[in-house]
Amino acid sequence: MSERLPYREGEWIDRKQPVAFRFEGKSYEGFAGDSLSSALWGAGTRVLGRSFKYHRPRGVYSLTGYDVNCLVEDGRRTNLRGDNLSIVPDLDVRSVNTIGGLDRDRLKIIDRFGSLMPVGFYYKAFHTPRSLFPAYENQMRKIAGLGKINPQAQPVATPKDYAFCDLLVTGGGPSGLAAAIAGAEAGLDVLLVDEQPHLGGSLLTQHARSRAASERLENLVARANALENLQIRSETQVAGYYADHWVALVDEKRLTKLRTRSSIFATGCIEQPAVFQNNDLPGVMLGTAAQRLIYLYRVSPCQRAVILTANTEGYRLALDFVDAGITVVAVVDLRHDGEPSELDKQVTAAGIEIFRGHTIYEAAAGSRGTKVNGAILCPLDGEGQPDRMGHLRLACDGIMMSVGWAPNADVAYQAGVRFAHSELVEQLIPQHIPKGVYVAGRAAGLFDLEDQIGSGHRAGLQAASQLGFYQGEIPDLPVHHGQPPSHSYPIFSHKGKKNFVDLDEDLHLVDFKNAHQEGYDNIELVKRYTTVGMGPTQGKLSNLNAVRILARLNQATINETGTTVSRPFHHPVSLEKLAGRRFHPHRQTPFEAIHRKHHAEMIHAGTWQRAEYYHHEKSSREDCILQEARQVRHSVGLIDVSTLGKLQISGTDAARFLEHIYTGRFTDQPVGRLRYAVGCDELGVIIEDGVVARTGEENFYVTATSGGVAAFYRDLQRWAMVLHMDVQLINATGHLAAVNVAGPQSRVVLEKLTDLPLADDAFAYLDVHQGRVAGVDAVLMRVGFVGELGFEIHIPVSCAVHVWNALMEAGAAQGIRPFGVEAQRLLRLEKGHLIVGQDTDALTHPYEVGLGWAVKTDKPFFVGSRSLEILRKQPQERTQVGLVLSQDYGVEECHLLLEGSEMIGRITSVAPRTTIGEPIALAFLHPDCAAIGNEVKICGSGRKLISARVVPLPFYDPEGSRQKVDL
Amino acid sequence: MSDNPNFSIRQSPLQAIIGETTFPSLEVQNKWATCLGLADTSLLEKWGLRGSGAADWISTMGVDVPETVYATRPLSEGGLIARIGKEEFFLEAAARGQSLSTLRDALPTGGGCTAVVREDASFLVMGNRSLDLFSQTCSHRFATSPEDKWVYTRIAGVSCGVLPQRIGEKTHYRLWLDPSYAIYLWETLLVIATEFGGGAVRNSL
Repeated sequence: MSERLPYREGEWIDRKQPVAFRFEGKSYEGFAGDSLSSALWGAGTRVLGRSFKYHRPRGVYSLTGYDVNCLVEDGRRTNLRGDNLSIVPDLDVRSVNTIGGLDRDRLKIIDRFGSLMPVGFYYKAFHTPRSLFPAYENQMRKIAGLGKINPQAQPVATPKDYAFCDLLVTGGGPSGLAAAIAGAEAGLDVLLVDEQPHLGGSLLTQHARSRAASERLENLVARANALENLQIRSETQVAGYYADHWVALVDEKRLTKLRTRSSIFATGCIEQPAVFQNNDLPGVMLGTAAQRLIYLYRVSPCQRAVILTANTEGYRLALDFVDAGITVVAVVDLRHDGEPSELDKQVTAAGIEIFRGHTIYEAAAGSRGTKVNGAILCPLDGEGQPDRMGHLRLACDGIMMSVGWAPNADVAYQAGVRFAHSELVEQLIPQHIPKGVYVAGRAAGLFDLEDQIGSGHRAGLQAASQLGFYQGEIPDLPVHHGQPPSHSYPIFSHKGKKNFVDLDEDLHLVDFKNAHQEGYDNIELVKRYTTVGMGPTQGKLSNLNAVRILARLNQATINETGTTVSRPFHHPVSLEKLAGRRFHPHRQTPFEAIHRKHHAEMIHAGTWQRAEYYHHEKSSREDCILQEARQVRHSVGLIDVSTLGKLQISGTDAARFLEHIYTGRFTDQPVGRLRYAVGCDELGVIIEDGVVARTGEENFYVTATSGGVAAFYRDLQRWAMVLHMDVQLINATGHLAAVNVAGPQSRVVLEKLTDLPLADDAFAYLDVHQGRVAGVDAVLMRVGFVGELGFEIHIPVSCAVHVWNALMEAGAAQGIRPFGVEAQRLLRLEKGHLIVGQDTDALTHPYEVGLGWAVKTDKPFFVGSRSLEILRKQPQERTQVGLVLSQDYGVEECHLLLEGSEMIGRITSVAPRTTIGEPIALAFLHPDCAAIGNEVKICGSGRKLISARVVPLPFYDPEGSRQKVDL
Repeated sequence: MSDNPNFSIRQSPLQAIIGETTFPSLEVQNKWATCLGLADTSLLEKWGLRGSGAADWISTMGVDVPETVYATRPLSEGGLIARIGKEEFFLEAAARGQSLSTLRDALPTGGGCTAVVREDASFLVMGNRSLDLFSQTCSHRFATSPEDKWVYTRIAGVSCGVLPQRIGEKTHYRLWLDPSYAIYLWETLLVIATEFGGGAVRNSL
């Protein structure tokens, strides 16, 4: 059955573009421009969804997405709001929160047992016995919750977006348009945002009958479009407002992070429902929802309407129905005196009966309970409650509510605006507005069209004035005249307990009375106990009535009762938009392509990509690593160590500065020599190590750990400022590449590429020289991290590949091959060298790991000196030891060392297969158990106890003879 | 400026991904450049200088020294000098074959000047949609950034120096960054540029 009305200028649908779609497995047809809700309603479908708790049938209610009566999922996305979901070809959606489909939802039986499930029942019913709670929880989890996430759904990358403006205007109604135009005409860079696809706001619906209003809208839109510095973004939500005018905008494609200098909220009002029995039946809807159906989608809300009202808008609505050819059975006016304007006469003239001082006591349901088939009216008594003695029934299939408004103020709250209740309009209006923020239109309590436009214009000038773009006069703020547009208490008791206050959570009037009786008399407590306003719409249609109810129960005013505040987001935002396009910066050394060419297995090392090892024919990972290590031990290997931190430290105070930073001495370090350096924090904990090369009297070149250099460099910068020293710090980590050519044949290889003398007497262990390698300026350091003769070569990254290739070519006769991080780790472990962060933890100090020699306590100060002085005098609780394991499997890093059931240590590094032929490990061990030759037990994989023997460190070449090798 | 002695052995950090790239026809490249083009300018030689005596020394070398922080000046033989800190300068040659070694080799030891190794990757962003590219990757408002004024910001999570420059009739954007991030940032920007109908174009500098 089609419920479409004839064509009308301004309608949003394109009748030339029919759109076929599917809902609940059935085929439907609507028009381009339709939302899912309007298309279904237009097709005669009345049940669009099921309620959260009682699974009651629900239909069109606000048609703005401010209710969740129509929540659907499409297989990839869930909890899509039918009011805001445009129909497109191939749309195929199903209602959420049903078992067996919308019509046959098996859980609708819960509605019959509603009286057994008052608010808070789960706090009481499932509290004891505790042992049964898991069973209760299991069942509740199956039933509760809206929508199901499809973990198989493919994520969609949405772009990130940053934007800027001088003035953000939220709301494209009359006041928002006027504000944006005023701001832009004053020269501001203005962004006008509206959540609807077309500008106009209330001019499109509540004023749609007025030709003058339509012309006003056309004029405003034309002026706005003509301004180059006024950008308009429709179908965009202002989802959150943060400090310093940082705003989150969300549209179909993306989340935009907007920085504005000022902001005007012309967000209008959200029409509020009345509370009466069965006020949630399909066919009961807000007056603005009916107007949206009529004017925007050209769908008839019903055939025979009863309008419940307490303001002028209700009478306008009646005339809208008349114009559309829909029968209005009656206007039920909560006001005893009725409507004072001319509209009263127009409605009467249209033959519509007006019941003044009456309310709708109950919406009567059809036989299946899925739609309205009548309205039961009662006169109001002296206390504004229904007098059931005078009730009468009117046959109708639609009940429209137009009883009042609440400002659409969530985001304004987030911007710091505070609202207070005004009896002049029976509405919350702004009371405190922070600098740079303005509120205009209905949200400021102005309902006259001219007042709305005037207040918008004023706000635009205010913003321009505050930003220095306007020096003229600011007009006065208009004030509302006449009766309040909102009724003070459109809430009516009924014994049936289906007079809903919060449709999200299925909360009815008695739930609030019960909560109050139990002592929850504060709005924040009521909110949490009843869960009012905690559903998907965050109370947009329920918070105000909840406050009214509590105020009456407390015999207090609304201002005394207070309101809850709003937090971002104003509207649900999908995680894919929050995440946006993923930016995961990662670093590559200049040799990455070479590593891959050599079949490297790449691993993440912090932000870097490194070669873990190189695949060699069909060898296993362990075999490849061992082969690489043996190559270094017996001949020569080449490793990319470009990830090392590389710092240049210079200045007249450079040496003194280093002595403040590190535990060692540097003022007496000869030029051309290296020193191992340990850096601690103020607690004496090791945070860094590396080598310090003195390249000149006032120049040092320092290496630091790959993962720690960024933080360490920041620390150095801080200390440089604190100490007021003449020192220049340069982090050259990314600008210099580094390789280590290591092994007994390394000198032979390097000699072919440099004029520097490399013999032991000219280039000794721990020497540093600057020269050229393969024609490239380089810093060369003789280091022994892997326990073999070796040269670390630091070169500009642009020339790095050239040097690597030259070294590989020069070493071809020696069978040079690249080795990866794992081989390096094995080699250094054999040599007993620790890795900061692996063999140390957040408590490790130098004395625990045999680095007491590197702590020069005779210095006046260094970072951590005071703590280390104390730690040095205390008995140690652990010490680093070397272990030879009884078997080459079953032990991993972090496995515990046990004595009986007592933990006496833990493994920090382990190598099951080594070049020395025995499985070895580094471990922390209690000093009492650390004697050389002592046997300890390791709780290995599968909790098996594995024996190990404490041995002296290093495991390999304890005399250091490999540094003297000269083959 | 002298010829760059390492000209033949220097490689861009993007060598591995665009070294072998076959660029499309000039017509297509021009189309991309008009819309949103990315060019690799990493092989332009760079050099840095820092210290209390840096400004005076550069001045004695006949270089027009930018007076304020983040200001830039062209070098007499092409290229540019940027003042990226109160006592820090960044210099870049104008063409791949040029070297800054004349200056570099003349730097005395001490004297409050420290040479800084600068091996930055550098890109050129050009085209009508340049600002759209930045709006997706950066929180800085380039639309109001003055030309020839250096900006430090983060683009797609990478710290960059950015310089809006007028080249011909249009504003182009020069980017400098740590070379270890070059491939990541290039690939990230290129994905977005391609979505806008642009792409990688051959370096015209």
